[in-house]
Amino acid sequence: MDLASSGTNDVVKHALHKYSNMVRRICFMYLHNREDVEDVFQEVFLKLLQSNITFQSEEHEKAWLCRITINKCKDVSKSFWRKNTESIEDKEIPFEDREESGVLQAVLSLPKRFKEVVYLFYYEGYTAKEIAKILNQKENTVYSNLHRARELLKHELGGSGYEYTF
Amino acid sequence: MNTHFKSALNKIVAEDDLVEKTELFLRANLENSNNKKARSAKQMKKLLVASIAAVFVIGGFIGGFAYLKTPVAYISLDINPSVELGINALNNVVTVEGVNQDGETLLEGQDIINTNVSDALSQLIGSASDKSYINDEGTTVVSITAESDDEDRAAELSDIGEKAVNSEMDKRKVSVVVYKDCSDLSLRTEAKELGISPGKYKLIKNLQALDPTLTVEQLKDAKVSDIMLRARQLIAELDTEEDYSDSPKSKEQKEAIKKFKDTANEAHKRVNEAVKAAFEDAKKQAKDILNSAKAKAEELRAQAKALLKSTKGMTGAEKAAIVARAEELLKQAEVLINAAGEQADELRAAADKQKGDAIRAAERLREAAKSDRVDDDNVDEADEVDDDADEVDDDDDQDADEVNEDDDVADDVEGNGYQNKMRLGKQ
Repeated sequence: MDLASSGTNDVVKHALHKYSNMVRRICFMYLHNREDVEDVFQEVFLKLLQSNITFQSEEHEKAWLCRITINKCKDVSKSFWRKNTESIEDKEIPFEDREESGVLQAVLSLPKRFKEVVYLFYYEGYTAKEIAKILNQKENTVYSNLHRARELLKHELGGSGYEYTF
Repeated sequence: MNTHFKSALNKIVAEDDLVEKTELFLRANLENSNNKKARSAKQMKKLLVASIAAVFVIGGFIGGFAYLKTPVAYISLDINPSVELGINALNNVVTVEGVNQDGETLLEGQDIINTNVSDALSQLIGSASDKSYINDEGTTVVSITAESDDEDRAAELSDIGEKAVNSEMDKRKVSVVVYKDCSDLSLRTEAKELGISPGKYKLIKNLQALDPTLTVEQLKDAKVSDIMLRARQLIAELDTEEDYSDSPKSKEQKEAIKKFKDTANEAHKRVNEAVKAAFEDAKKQAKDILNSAKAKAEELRAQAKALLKSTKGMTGAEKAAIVARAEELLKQAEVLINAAGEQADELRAAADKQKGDAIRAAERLREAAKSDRVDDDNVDEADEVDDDADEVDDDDDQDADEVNEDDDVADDVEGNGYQNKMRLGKQ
């Protein structure tokens, strides 16, 4: 048991160190409530550590975790309780940089299906093909969602000019 | 823009307390479930399979039990005790119900649940015979009605019933007339509402087709034998009516006639035979008794005469003893003759009673059918019976007269004895 628990310790630390930021970011995209974020963290990492999937590569593991986290976030925000309550910490965004804040606001205000493609494409740097796999969508759907998200963002951030070309 | 987005998101990092909390949670959960969880998933699967299997097994038991305990067909046995048996899909008896008072009596001490239909009916008919619901003359009509929505099955059940009853009766050397019929289950509900057995209800319905003035109430407690006799009368009536009137028989009537005819004729034949046999028997017995009494009295008389003759040339004391002996013999003859007369009277009474029994059925139904129609056939039958009885009476009377003559002879002898005694006394 000692051996096992010490082994477990390492694995836990390693996993948290490696992925906590990414999971937190995804959570940030979807959730506005600290408690929900905690729930998602616990469940996502528990799943990761309990699963007996053997990952082909680091990339595979990461993509898998992405998908798990996105699904979990959706589940949480879809839940009955969430639907019927308004969080008080809603939309609290702690950024000083006006530009950054603006872009982030714009992305966050997008519908879910655009948010996830934008995040995966621009931040994580996945190709449309990979995104399609992660989200279990058709590649063409990913392309059109990306396109529409860009249109919306352009419209939102409008006039501010040249630098907003994704 | 892209860089802004990236840098903005880069600023989002997992808070230390969040990571710590998660770490604590993970450690707590993984420690006590590291081995357990993985195994318990498998166990859950096994448990699931086991419970599904259990559900099937239990369901199978319940289903099987229901299958074995639910009656799918009924047999109603009517003599006058009416009994109804519920039969399951395997032809075993699962419910038993006495429909009327006699039915309850018939079922007393009978355990036929879970026995085969055939055995159950044998047992019941045996019990009916023991409890004298079936008479020895063979005039009893036993009705067996199988009720099932499946016609073939009903026919099969009624055949089984008929065979069971006949074989049991053969064993007991008693004959009965078996009337078998089938019906569907809808009839059963109607009969239940009226509080009679479905078998009898069907009989009554058929009888009503022949005579619409009859009501269920009148026929409710009638014996099946009586219903059969009445049916024969009605059929005969309709046959003769047809010759004179234009109204042809209705379809129901024709069906009822077809159903009843054979059984009713058989029952009627047997009743007539039984009545005749009973009177023949009574006549013969009465004659036998009187003849033997006559013979014995004759003997005694002869003895007395011989004794009196032998007194000649004897002393007084000896004579007196012999006369006393002769007197005693004569007295014995008197007693014998009187006893024979009494027995003859008893037989006459018994014959009267039998006559009553025989025609009571007819009378009962005559009362039951409150119609104005005079039942020629019935009257004929009753008259026939009456004639037979009268004949027996006449014979009895004749015999009694003969006996009385014998009495006179005895008196004569006695008188002679007296005279002799007197003579002896004088001497």
